[in-house]
Amino acid sequence: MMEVRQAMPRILGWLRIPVPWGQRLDGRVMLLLLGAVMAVHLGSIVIHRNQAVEVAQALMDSQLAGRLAVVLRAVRTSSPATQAASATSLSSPTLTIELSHSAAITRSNASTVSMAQRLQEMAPSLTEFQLRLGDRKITSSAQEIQGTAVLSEESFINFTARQTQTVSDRHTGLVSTSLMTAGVAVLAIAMMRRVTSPLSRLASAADLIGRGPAVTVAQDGPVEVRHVAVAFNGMQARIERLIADRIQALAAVSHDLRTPLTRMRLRAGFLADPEVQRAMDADLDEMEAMIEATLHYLRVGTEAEAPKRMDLATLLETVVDDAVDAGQDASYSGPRHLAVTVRALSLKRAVANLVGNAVVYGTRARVSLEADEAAATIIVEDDGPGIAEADRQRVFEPFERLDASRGGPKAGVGLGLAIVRQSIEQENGTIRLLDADGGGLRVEIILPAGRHTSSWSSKAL
Amino acid sequence: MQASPQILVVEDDSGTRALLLRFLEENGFRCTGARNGTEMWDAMERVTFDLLLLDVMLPGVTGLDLCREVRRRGSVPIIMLTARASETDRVLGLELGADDYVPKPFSRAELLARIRAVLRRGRILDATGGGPTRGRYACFVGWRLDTGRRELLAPGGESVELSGAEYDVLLAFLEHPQRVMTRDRILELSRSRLGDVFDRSVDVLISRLRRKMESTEAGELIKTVRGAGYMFVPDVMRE
Repeated sequence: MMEVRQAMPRILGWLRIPVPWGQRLDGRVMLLLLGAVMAVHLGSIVIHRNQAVEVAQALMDSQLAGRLAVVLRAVRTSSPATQAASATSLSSPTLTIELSHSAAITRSNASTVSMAQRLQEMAPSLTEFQLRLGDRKITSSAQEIQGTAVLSEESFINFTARQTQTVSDRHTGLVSTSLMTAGVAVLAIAMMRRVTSPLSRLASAADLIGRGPAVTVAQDGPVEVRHVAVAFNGMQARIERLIADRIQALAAVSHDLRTPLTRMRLRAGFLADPEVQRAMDADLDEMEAMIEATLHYLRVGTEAEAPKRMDLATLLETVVDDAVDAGQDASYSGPRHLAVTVRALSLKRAVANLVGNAVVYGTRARVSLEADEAAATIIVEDDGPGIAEADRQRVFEPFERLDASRGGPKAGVGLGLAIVRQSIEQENGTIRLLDADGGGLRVEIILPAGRHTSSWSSKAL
Repeated sequence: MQASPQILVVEDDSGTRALLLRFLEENGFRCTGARNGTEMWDAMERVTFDLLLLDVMLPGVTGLDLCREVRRRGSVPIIMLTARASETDRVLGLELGADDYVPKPFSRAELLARIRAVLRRGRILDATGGGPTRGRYACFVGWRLDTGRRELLAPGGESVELSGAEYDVLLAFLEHPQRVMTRDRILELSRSRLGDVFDRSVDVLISRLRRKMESTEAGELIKTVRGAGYMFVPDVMRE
């Protein structure tokens, strides 16, 4: 379960499934940016609207003043009999005029008085009339002003000026806002990607540490990110130096142990009791095997063996013959000759290791070789208890031991299969653990006939 | 009765040197110890040794340099004591003219077997006029044995893996081609590897060699001579 949880972000990354926007750095910055842009935009729309309304009112007032002056003069100069008819005929959709005996507006307040004065300033002839105005009625789509001009004590001209709002309406405001927001969003995404991509690269690099060769992060991007990259590279260099120092110390100790071991070997020869001598030699064998395994494991990758063209079949035969000579049940089947290009010593050690395991955990080792155009496959099978599916990955880890479950002897430092995997990966090969037919473990080593293995000359007889 | 052989042990670790001397003396050899190159040359001025046991890791002038110098001056057999699995030391030592190598830490039986084999081979080759000075490569019908690297190369150029014992048997054949050799003779000539392993019969080793060197072009390389032993058929050229 732990592993699954740790792997989740990486899997999401591979599948390019985005982490929720609000949790991402670029997402947060973008939301902030968009919010600000929208606030500014909406604010400017409101201001613009108010200004437009004022302009529209001033325009309406000046038109009203002009037309009212003309209409009033025309009505007054008409004969009293035709006054009503001429008032009606002078009406238009934007200015309704009506002659009446009662005033529509009977009183004024401070604001309407000042408005009336403003109209009279615009059209000085209006000063000839007493002008009363009602409050300006403003709806979302129109504005309306009612008023009354006093002709005589019993004759009033009531008028209503109406104007449709010409100010840009709410819908165009929304459209422009969304368009602008979308544009800013696209730009912001592009820019944030640029800003955060060094961070993403840093994360991928950090994830790669310890899984292969050293990773260097490009030291670019914004200053802060660049500092992180520099610090990261420095940290990695320090870690590597630390590990290298430890490895060197371990190698030096293992190496230096050989001298006292040699002395002990010789001293054991002077022991009078042959039983003690044998036991001592057995202990020394074990110690030696551990030291050699450790040194070998540490050496792979540093003191590289050069690949050479060699006969893989005779190599397997030699390993099997050595096991037979040591009294074990081992056999080889497959072609008599197969030319490949590999690191012979390291591969031989790997196969010998597998054969050794086979006769320790089972009773016999069956080695076989199969080859085709694409690959050579080395198979080592035993009749032991095998390895449970769940443990098959773990056994390749250094210093991992399954002896408790495999029922084998508790010797060695648990480097056997780690060394095997090292040498196989060195050849760009793969190693798999499977169930053998009829129980037991089947180990398959697949060596590709690619860059490292030259064309086959299989001479099976 | 031959005088017991004189061995010079060149080893810088005093404990190891003392133990080696005692061990070899208990096994019937006469021994002298030397800490470094200077002491080695001093000792060789005074005594003619039958064998040099030379540690590779020496302070100052290394064992490899000493080996080259000794070989330049004479033909006294040399066994190098090398770090196990250090392929470079091993190959270099053999290429510089060492007769054999024993990786440290060695088992007592292995060391004794190698010493005895090298001494015996030296005597036999002296008697037959042969010796390590005759060319590094032994060639026969397209095959090539590199005695420097102890490596057998097939006609196609690929290296054919041989066990130590198989190498020794093949070398014995190549030094005596077209001559019938008894099993005992082969064993005597080639017995330089681990005693235990080498008790495998010569027949098994030869059948393994035949299998590994099987090829349709060259035909039979090692012929069984009924009631007598074996014979290596092809001509052997030294290069």
